[in-house]
Amino acid sequence: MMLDVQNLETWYGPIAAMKGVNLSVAEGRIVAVLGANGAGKTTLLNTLAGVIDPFKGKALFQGAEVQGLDADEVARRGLVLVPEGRHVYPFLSVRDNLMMGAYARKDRDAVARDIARVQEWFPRLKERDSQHAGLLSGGEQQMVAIARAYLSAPKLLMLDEPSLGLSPMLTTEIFGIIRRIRDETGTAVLVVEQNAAVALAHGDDGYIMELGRIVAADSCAALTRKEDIREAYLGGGGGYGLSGTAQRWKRRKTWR
Amino acid sequence: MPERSMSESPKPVIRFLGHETPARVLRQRATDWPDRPALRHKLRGLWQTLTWQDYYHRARAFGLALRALGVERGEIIAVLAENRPEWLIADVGAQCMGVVGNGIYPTASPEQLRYILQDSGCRLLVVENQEQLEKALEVRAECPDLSRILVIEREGLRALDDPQVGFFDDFIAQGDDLASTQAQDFEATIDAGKSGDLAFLVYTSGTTGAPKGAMISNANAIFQMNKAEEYLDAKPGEKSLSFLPLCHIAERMASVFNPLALGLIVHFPENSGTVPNDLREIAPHVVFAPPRFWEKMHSEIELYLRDAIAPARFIYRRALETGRASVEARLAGRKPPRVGPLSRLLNWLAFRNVRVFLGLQNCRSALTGAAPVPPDLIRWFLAIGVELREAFGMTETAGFATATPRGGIRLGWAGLPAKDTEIRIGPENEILIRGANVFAGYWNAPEKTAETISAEGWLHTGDCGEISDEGYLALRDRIKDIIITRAGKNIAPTQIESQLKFSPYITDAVVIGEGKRYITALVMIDLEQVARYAQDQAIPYTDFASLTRAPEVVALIQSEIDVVNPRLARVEQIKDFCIIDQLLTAEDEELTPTMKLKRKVIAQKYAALIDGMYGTQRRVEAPPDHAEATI
Repeated sequence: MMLDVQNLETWYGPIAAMKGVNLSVAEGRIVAVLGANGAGKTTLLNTLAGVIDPFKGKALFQGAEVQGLDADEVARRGLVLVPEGRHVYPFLSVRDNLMMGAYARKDRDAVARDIARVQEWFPRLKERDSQHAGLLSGGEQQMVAIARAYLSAPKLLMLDEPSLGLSPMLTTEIFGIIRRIRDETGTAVLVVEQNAAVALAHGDDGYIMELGRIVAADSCAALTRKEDIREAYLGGGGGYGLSGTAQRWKRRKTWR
Repeated sequence: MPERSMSESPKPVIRFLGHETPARVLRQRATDWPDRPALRHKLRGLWQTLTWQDYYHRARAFGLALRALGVERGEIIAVLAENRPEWLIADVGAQCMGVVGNGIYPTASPEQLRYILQDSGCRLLVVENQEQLEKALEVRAECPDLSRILVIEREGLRALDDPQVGFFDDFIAQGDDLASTQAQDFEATIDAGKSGDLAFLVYTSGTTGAPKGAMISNANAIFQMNKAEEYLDAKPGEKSLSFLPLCHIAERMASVFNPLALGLIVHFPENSGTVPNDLREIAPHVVFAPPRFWEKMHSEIELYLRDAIAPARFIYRRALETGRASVEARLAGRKPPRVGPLSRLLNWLAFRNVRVFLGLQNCRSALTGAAPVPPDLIRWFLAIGVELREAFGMTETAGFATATPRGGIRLGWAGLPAKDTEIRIGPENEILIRGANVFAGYWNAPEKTAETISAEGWLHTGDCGEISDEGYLALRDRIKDIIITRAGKNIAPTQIESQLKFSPYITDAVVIGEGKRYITALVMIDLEQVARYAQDQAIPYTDFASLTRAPEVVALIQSEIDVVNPRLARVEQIKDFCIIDQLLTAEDEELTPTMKLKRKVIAQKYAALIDGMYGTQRRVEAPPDHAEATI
């Protein structure tokens, strides 16, 4: 197992944002974590990336405990976060943004090869190479963020809501590239998403999070078939009932 | 059944305040207490009050509109909603017109709803909201008697356009208009109601076979209203919380008839999730709930204190220890040992807070029943200063038939028979009851009625039990549920299950062993508590099924069973168990609307699991290479 998370628990002051999460990411897999607002998805990634320290539990990355380490140490080990909302450096050029990702690397030749590689994945970034990143569109900034993360030579790439603020077409494109990265380089991916349809379509394994806990875990294909997930996450529910009005109530979920 | 009624001697009419029907008592209350509060519910977080006069006027409006619709005396209407004032207004409004009200569990599936609507020949259905409306619309084509559906909450239904469906508030407004001209008529209709007329229907939950509609007459209700003072210590203006399903006889009596008799103010929780908060806020004077509810309170406190600071834990434990001695003395009828001022202070510190936390600081009448009560539960409540009294009753006795008098707790005994009722033990130790609380029979099922009520008026409860020298009644089990093991031993499963359920980690259990060599159990775990345990102990799990399979969780349940086993006779001890690996909801056929496991359905659905516990051939014959492969 590349990443093994055991009973991870994180608090913000008096509030438990994550009440014991168990999940694992195998080599070369794309793992999707789905959940509504406030389910604890971002907390999970931030805890893994070393941005927040957990209250309890373990995170084993390639067999070594990484919970509570500093963020830069976690990133050096190859567990790299693409934060929600991209966070590119707006006044640096696209090229300099990418080089920031490679900040901790000494192997110049390899970095140059990786830059060529991300420019192949994202041809748009080559076109905008010298522009300020702040002047790019949202989709392009997302590309910069992913490319920058790739330049720190990740073994496991953690993506926080890559679809945020992107058009459906761009979202599909980004997920296509995520798959391509995995296929070409074997990098494992842990992606947190609200856009369940896209994440389930592109992921291998999936977890559903609600109120700080994992409530369902299975392959993405199997999750897609679960009725509760179709209804709550894939827009299967709702619709118009016999009364001819839009459904307003929520079914009790059992995640069967 | 005319032949039967002829053989009976005419009974004296039972009255309350000189009235022979609850409807007349309501009218009296509206005259005597026009401005006193009767019902309270929350609207956008603020309590709204209906006075007795408001209550009466709404009921009148509902009743008159019902008549305008052509619903006649003796016909049935039903309510499919959570507890709320409209529920009582519809029910009582119908009673005033001689129309018979019936409640349907909000968790009912469309199929269950169809059965009850058809079986009762329901004429009008009040539904809570869009969700319940959808169920009704799904089955209405098969319910020819149903002429109108009323929706209480308009939310989401602005676009609704259906000639058969209307809104509850419009219906009341229509009735209010009618009242301006027909108020006299309404009074006359109330006066026309007779003691022997039906007051309402209660469909039994149907753990055995299809649900049956038990007919409760005005006389039954009036008899129970006369008993209210015997069971409950309450003064007018004191408070109660209506949080159990109103479709159940216990809550119907507690929310409709006891308040009529005692002047209690009925409060409605915002929703089922807010009940603990509402209890804390209202601090009711009267609480009736099944043992499960009290157990939850107990486990909540225990788990809460596990996380509390050390001094709080110390004070609580210490107080519980000193409390225990005096509880045992009280139960044995001895004088409690004298305690020093320090102990008294600790006691007060610990338990006053516990009672306030639970909302029980005002509660003078705490009652439980409907399932066996673990003795430790009663001991604990006595220790914290709440006298939790056991009572026994059933739908067919229109509420309580026995109750423990104040200061008269006998552990394992469900109290003394209500005055003016007779209880004896029949063949097979069956409990037989005769009195004015015995119901009027099953709706449209004279043969079932004849099986249940004998020609001499004895109700065959189907429960077996015994009566002590003091006259206390003890319940053993449903006669049908008694397990006879292969060795021929009779075992009462419910008693064992109730001991298991005392564990905070076990929600419910079904004990199995009919014709088997030993006793086993299927266990339903409490997700919240077990998940918390798993996190505390760093037990990895993802979904519900993986939680139930975690070896540490299995060990936890085993340890809970190991606590219970020594208290059981050897033949009753649980030798093996399985945890049900699916999260069940009230919509599932495995559970009754009150979240109890249905013994028969469980035995069928989990036959493979059960066979596994008795080591059938399947296990033995598994080929060795297969066994290796799975390792």
